[in-house]
Amino acid sequence: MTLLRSARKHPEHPTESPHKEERNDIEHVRHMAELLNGAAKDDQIRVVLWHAAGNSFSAGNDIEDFVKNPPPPGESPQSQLMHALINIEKPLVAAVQGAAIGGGTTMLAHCDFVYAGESAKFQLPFVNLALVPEFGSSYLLPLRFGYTAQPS
Amino acid sequence: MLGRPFDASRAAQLGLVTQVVPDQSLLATATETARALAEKPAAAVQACKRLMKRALREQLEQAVKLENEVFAERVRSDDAKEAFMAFSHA
Repeated sequence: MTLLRSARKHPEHPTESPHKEERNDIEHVRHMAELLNGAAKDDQIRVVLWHAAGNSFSAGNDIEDFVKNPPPPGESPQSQLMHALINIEKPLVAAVQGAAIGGGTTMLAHCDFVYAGESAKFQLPFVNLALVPEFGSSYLLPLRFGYTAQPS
Repeated sequence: MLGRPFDASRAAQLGLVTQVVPDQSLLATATETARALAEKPAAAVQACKRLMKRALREQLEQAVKLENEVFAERVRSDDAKEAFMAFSHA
């Protein structure tokens, strides 16, 4: 799905492994939190570039994974990723191609620069799945869009 | 709340996206920005981000905590089970 690449000052080294899976599962969420926390601590890393390794930025969470590993209310890989996104002080640059569904869209609200390919598609399908928004998006998106603005 | 898809230009209008670019130059554009940022004085860049995000931080953390509690409840609900089932069979 996505690849976090770290831009060092001289030269730029891609340091992290790509994820080909387009859907998030608990392992991928855990891995992304580790990458962000690692980048936050590494003095050599100045910027994080976040882009698709496959055709889609993020097709959303794996529904079967929600059934198998439903996130608990407290500490979880998901909450660790949320805190990693909130806490990182280095700039996050996102490049969105293809689909950015659910977390693929809400996580963008934490990025400093977001570039989208002209054919990119976004969706916040939470209520359709009887779920609610996450990654702080219930606060950040009404603030950013205006409360009554509708994406579509 | 309707959960319908939207496109890149709408995302830019809403302020979710900085810039819409042709698909083929997407990664080059993002990389160019990442490089430009990497050339700036790192401590100043990070302090700048910290300052710009400071005002939202406390409320953002509260929102995340509350969302996780409600999400955990919803994801285990009968409505969610039904929706997941419908999704898997779609």
